[in-house]
Amino acid sequence: MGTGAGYSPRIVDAYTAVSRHVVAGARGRAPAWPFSILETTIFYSKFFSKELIDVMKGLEAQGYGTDEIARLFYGPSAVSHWLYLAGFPFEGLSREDVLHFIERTIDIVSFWRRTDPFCLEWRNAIWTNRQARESASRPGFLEPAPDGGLAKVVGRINMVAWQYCLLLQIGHRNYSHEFHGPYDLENGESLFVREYFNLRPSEIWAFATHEAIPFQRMTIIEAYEGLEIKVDMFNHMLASSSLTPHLRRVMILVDDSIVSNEKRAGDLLDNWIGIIARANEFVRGYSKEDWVRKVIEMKYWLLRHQKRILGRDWGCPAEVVALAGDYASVEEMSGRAIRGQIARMKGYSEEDAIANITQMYLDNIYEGKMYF
Amino acid sequence: MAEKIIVKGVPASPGRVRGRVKVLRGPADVDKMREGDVLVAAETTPEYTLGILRAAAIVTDHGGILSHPAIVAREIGVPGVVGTGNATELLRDDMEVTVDGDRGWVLT
Repeated sequence: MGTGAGYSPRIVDAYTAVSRHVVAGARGRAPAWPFSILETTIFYSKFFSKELIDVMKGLEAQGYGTDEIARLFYGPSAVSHWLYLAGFPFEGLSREDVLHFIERTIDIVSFWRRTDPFCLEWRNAIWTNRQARESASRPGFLEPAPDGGLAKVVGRINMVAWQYCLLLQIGHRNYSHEFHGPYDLENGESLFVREYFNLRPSEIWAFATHEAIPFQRMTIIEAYEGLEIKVDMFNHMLASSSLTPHLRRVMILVDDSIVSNEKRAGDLLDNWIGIIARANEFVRGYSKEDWVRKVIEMKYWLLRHQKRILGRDWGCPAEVVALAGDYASVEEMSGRAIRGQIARMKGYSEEDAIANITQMYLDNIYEGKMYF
Repeated sequence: MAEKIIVKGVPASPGRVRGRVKVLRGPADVDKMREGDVLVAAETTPEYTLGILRAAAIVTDHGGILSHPAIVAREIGVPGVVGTGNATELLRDDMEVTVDGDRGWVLT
């Protein structure tokens, strides 16, 4: 791979990791509901990237450091998605601005994942192993009986909560969930943690009211035995087998209250089923344009705290919403770009395909060459 | 009678189960699913959640081991076969089939 004089090695590493994900997606292994992330990235990158850079600069001007900015964005997986944005054409931004934005994005991701910011080891390690061991020794863990009743309930709670988050975020954008680990507990168990948050974005979704979803956060800490779990930088999870038979201990926290027994876990599952049923009923009949509009609204919603700090209105500008009405032309362009990327990879080994796409991103960022 | 393979795909979640096929062609079809049915679809989405909860197995046309149906099948511990290419064409509502998630097969 040509890496060009003056290319930042950390930017090359970041785009190698992003390209690995693109290759996996193009070969049908990554989720793409309700449309490919590439389609929407091209659609909003031109205006939203400028917004992000502006917000970042505004916070820096007010003295906010990397750690404080990182905490405003909840977790590393949502921020990792910005790398996609930066790999697409920017309009009205200098190369210096783009490189600054990418470097700051990597700084933020590295704040959360100190040792492996791009999950190249297939682990999303936000806690240290020591933190994980301390969490695993807290009181409040439930132990599934051999019949697996509780394990099945936990699997179902996780599945439904994840679907709800995908619906809120319109795909895998990680504004309301972060799955991290696995952490080796050095007793034959590995710990895996699911954090669900921002569960009530009622400014964007009318169904997400306090009455409909009475909690804002849920954390599930799971200790597994005999199961290999891998996670990529965008939080996609690959387990070596079904999870339920391998679950040895679990702690469920709902807004900091521990779910104390299997009966209560069952009640929580029932609660979640009602929540997802109402959410799905709400979006039934949504057109692609409706979904695109929601994607845009959610992008701006993510910046609400930051823009309030800067004394700005966080709502999505009307001219940006209007773009959703012109979605057909954008869709045509994105379709062309995706087909182009796939065609370029035809016959390539996975390694060559990753190298090829990484080079495209780098050429775009550093040389201003447009492939899309 | 010997079992016959009718659909082959990517083994996505282990286990073997027999059930009645329901082919879902959109979110509105989720209501067809009964407890213990085999969910068959081009792909699964969050809009299929209530159907997934009733499924004894999941079979899809698209996807690989990191796809949505593969992840949800492993999560809830039911057999999963993905990336079959043609399950929604070859399987029909109410067919009795066996899903072998270890081998990636759907059998008569």
